[in-house]
Amino acid sequence: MSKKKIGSMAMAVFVGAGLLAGCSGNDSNSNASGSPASGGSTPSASNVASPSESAKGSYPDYSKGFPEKVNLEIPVYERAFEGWNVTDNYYTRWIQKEFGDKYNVNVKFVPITRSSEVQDYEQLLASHKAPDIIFHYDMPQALAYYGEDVMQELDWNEIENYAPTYWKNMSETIKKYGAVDGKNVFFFAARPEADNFTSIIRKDWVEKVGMKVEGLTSLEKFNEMLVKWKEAGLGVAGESLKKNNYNFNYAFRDWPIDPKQRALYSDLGVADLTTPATERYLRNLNYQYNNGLVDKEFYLRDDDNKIKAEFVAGKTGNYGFYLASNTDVLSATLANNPGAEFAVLPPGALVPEGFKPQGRAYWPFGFIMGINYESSAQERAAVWLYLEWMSQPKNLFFLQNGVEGQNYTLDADGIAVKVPDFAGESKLSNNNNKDYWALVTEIAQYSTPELTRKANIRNWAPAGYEYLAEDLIKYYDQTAEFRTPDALFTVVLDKVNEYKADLNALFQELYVKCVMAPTDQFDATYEAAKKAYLDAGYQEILDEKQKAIDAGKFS
Amino acid sequence: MKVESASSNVETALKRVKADSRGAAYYLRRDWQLYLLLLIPLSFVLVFKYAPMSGLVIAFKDYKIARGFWGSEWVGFEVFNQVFAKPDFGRAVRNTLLLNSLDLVFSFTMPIVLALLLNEVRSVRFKRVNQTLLYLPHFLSWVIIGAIAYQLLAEGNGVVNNLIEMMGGKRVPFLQEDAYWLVSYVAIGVWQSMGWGTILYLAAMSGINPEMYEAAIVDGAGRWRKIWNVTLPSIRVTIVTLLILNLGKVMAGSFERVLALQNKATTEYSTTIEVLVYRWGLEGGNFSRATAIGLFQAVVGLVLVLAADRVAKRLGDDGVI
Repeated sequence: MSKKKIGSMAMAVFVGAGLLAGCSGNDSNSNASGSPASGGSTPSASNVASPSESAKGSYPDYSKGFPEKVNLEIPVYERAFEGWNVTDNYYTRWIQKEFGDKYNVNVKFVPITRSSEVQDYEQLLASHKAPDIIFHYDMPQALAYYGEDVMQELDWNEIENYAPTYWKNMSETIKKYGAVDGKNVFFFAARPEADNFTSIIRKDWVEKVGMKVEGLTSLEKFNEMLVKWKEAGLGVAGESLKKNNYNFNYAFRDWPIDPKQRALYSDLGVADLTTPATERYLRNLNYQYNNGLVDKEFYLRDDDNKIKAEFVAGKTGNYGFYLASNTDVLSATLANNPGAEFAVLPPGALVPEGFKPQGRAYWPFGFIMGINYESSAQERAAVWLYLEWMSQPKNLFFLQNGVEGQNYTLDADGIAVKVPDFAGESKLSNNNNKDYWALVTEIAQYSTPELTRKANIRNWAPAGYEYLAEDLIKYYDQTAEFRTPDALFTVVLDKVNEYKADLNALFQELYVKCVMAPTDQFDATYEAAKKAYLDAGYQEILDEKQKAIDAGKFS
Repeated sequence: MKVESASSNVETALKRVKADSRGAAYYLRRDWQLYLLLLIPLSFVLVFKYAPMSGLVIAFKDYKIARGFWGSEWVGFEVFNQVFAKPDFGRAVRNTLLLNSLDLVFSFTMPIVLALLLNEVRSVRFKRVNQTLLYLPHFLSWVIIGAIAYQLLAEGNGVVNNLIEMMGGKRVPFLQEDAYWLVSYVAIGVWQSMGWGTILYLAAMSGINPEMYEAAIVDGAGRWRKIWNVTLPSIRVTIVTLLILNLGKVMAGSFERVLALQNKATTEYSTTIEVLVYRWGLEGGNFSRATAIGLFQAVVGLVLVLAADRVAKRLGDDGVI
């Protein structure tokens, strides 16, 4: 045998062995991951079957702790707060000490990047490293996870057994919204009604051009003011690239709403490009763009820091954000523009005359959660115990406020008054730790609505800007009747999952084109965009939704 | 006497090579240390290059994470049919070919030109400083380059545009109009990669026998002649090898580069195959589809390399295979 032949034979053997190694390697891998660390054979078989088997039966008693150490993996949003380690800090250690050690559970936090959470989850799921809880704030995406078979069926009796307090708080919501295709899949966090998202405007600019903030009662007035801003060389309206949360056209929708129309088109995850409301919205933005009234490079402002930077630099005059007492927007803007004054933008300011200040209402729940299909029965029980533990007011209050005497002091009403700029060891994440306790509720609450409101104002307003939080609440109450939640479908919408990613990309491309089109070409551009969008899969989504609507499978 | 025995030694050695009747076991035993060493890179290739290929099966399956690679249902070529029917597919293939062909024309030739220029520099210190400066961009991540590009070139407040305006010119949408974007994309790519690309050529040039230059000088050749008739032919093998390897990339391309430089106003040329793999696989969670288009891309790339290799051999050069 010649050397050359030996070489090529060896090569062939290696390649063949490689392919085989690849196969077997993968096989064992998928087997190994099928059975997570703590027991359970094949995932879908044992875990999904167990609840129904043991329905109403007796559950093992873990109140004294698990016999063997259980690894509980809890997801937590990574929002890239400076100097904050989401998986290892004072509070994660406190949770381990107070909860983990008591139940013989090893609590591990799994960071989920807030701005690309779906990608993170998909990657974790594909590599069998996803946490025990799979969560999301938006129902269509939660349904998409369910559609990928990565959530196991739940036994409500089991939840009640291990987490009676949590079950008492949430059972109504869980029973109403937790079932899909007749299977119990989701559980939720509470969402008391309140919202700290607001838009602020440069009051000094408004007054410089001889107008009043309260006078901004319609979009027409707002645009008139923008023209004056431009003439006075002050700046433009802030604008950013639409992505992820498509709730831009509410102010342009007809009122009263038709529930079926709402169900068909209103969707945070897939933008609606084809309705008259969107056309009105785009036409206005096109007008603002062509007349130089709005940030010309809005499509480059694709994350909050970039949008904020424009406002802080005094180039744009309005900015939408979650008002919080520790916000740096106001001080940073003042540093660049001494004399800047701020006011909450009145709800009518972005609404065309003849329309109502509509908005999207939250669903009556916060996080939508499911249990990872690979979690074992013990890990599932650990989740319920964790929720139960966190539902105890004492534990929740500590997570929300920190250490008394350090992070806060209690005032006469029993409200925690946060020590400003506290930087000790027990510093809270973003001043509220929300990402840790959001598994049970979305907003911190006190015993009465009045107290909660008072506490909210304190938590939301930076010192000296209490009026911002008060106005925010005032306007929030004023517009309550015009807020409607999106329809909840009780079937999986396959076409939404199929086309969502493509349509998101296409929507951005098309709407930017419409906005940047010369005024006289807007109609043609918009018509072409509509057609392209429908052809790319939106029509199929509408057909599928229509079918579900006709069958009454929505609420 | 001595000379004679030496020559007979050589003769027997030659004979041994010719009449090689020993089996593989002999060589294994004799050079086992070398083969053992060879196992290290081989196992690397097997584990990281071949083993993952088994995952390609999901291109032919309706892959569900929960069911795993082997539990998912076989669907034959259905996923491919879906991919080919997507409206973005044609555009992505066109853009991938367009961006990479332009890269091949400019990013591939620039390092050669640059290497020739550097080779002519007489001052060693000047040459070294320049080389180091030229290598630097290669070490920057595309995310950083993208951010810098927008700081410098943005129409609204980019430094370059501010300068242009100060000097009385009109602002140029370097990155914000389709055609300009294409030019900027290629130019930034050339800037980033040309310095690093010179390394192999400079190495090849350092191996050229100085006598050839001396002979050329004796024949009365000037600088251009020397470059044309000595340097270039000497590095021809290197150029052809790199060209063949680069042809394989005409269907690939860098995802980060597109991601870092694109924006939503210039999507005409920025939807590439890599972008679709990311969108379908990681954004949409449709791993089967992402794998299918990735496999398609790899197969076309392989065909291109083989074809280029064949052409090179026909033209009388050594191929790579």
